[in-house]
Amino acid sequence: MNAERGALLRTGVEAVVTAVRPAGAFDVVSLQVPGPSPWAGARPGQLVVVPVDPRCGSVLAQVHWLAGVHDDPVHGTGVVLLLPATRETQAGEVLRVLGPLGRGFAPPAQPVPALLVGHEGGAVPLRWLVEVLRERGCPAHVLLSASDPELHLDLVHLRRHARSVVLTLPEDLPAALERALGDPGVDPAVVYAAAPIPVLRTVAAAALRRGRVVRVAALDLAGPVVCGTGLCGACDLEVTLDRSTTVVRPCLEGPVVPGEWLVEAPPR
Amino acid sequence: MTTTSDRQGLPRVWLGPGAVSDPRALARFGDLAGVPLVAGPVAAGARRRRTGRTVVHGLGVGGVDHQDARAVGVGAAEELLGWATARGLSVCVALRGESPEDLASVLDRLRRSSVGSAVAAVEVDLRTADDQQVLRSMARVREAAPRGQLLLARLSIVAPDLVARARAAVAGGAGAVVVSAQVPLGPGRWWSGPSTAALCLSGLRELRAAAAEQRWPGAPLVAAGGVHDAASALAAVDAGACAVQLGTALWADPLLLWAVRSALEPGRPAHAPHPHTRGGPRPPEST
Repeated sequence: MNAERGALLRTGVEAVVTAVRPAGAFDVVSLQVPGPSPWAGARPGQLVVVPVDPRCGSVLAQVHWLAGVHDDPVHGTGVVLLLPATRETQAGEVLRVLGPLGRGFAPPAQPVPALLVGHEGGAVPLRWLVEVLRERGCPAHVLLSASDPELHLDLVHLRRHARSVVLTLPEDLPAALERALGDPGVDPAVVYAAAPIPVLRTVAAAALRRGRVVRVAALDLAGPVVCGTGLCGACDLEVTLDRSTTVVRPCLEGPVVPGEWLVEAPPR
Repeated sequence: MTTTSDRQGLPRVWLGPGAVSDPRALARFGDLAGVPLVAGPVAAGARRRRTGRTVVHGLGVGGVDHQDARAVGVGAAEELLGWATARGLSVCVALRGESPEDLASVLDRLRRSSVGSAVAAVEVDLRTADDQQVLRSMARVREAAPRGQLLLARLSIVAPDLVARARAAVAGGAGAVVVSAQVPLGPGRWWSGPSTAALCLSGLRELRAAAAEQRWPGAPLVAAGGVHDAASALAAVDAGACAVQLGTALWADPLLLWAVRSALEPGRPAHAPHPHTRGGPRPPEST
């Protein structure tokens, strides 16, 4: 299995765009990939890399969150990505895709309530995670922030799977988060977050203060330089491990890491 | 693993220090046998345990404006050497230093460490050095290195008198010259990427012509700059390179490593240095 997965990573797969559905500033893009491996073990929070030809001028590959993987005997294996609408993805387009890469969100073993916190396009992993949580019987509540309503992510999908979806502005997110954490109707046992690093630090600190388990996708794909493979090191992150500061590379060792790592002084 | 005895088979593909800040990331994509991993840049006095965040000032058409990778300490190189040794992989240590003594002290520490024997090659960053500094630095590194250790001198194409610096590197003990086409944009700041391909080819041609005229002894050349696919790698070989170094091209597509390696492998002989000069790929040493 590992050898097969390694071989597929080495060559990448040719994925065909089968459907494009507009969702605000994003397109929900369905891709057909050959065979279930290595996608069968994919998780929300993992990445895919779409290599580019450097001759076209770009020195960076395109990196996207995996927004869903579905496998059925009729339609085969499908992968969902959320791509910017400005990319103008067309059905029938062929993309060479490397992935899934990285460590994704592990859903809880028990059906416990979960709070999902995201910001704009960084919240893509939560779109799939909320589906997975629902399948496992975990009541999921979603808290999203965005500076522009168009940037809220695929709300129809989220509302279909979550118990509640709360939308807020970035400046109101900390207060909304406190309300959600203190709400007995939510009472999350675990908090999942996917957002830029400063937002993740805020979320992790607030949730840890209340003794919740926190897992965050610590990679900001909207940053100026992200290779997605762990080669460039631009995503390096100073974290707190065993009360000492060290550097982790989310592209390589994450992107999903414990929230404690982002909090400077972990609460006892 | 690249050793003294098989230097005739100088690896055809190398990894660029700085651009490939953690070669372990590449291991996810395939077999790295035959590709020396790069440790560093390592500098005396540096304490960093990991090659840090690449500081990118801007992305442009065909390249990236970036700061030099910050150097790491010997401990970081030892960690990678241990990881590579356990997997049967080879490592090239990239050295950087203010003075020849700095360079030698790093090498001396590595040589005395438990994993020092796993160092397959040492690349010395001499991009900003003149010919006298190149000579002094390489000679001091040669003294500090184990006998037969493959040493590479990294020289910038855009600094004056490339041939004199290459001659000094070989005189100082370099077994190969890395022809770096990075364009200096300021102190410690460089432009790298596929747009530097033409510069790299010009440097290779200049050194090849100079070797033919016996203006320097000749040595295997490693093209570092603008190699971004199999065709550009083959163009570099045609221009006189024995091998190529991949850096930012792997940011665009990590699988290029294997594509370029296979393009350079099948029965295509490396460019032979001028027959009347020394320093080319050597036959295996008899034991």
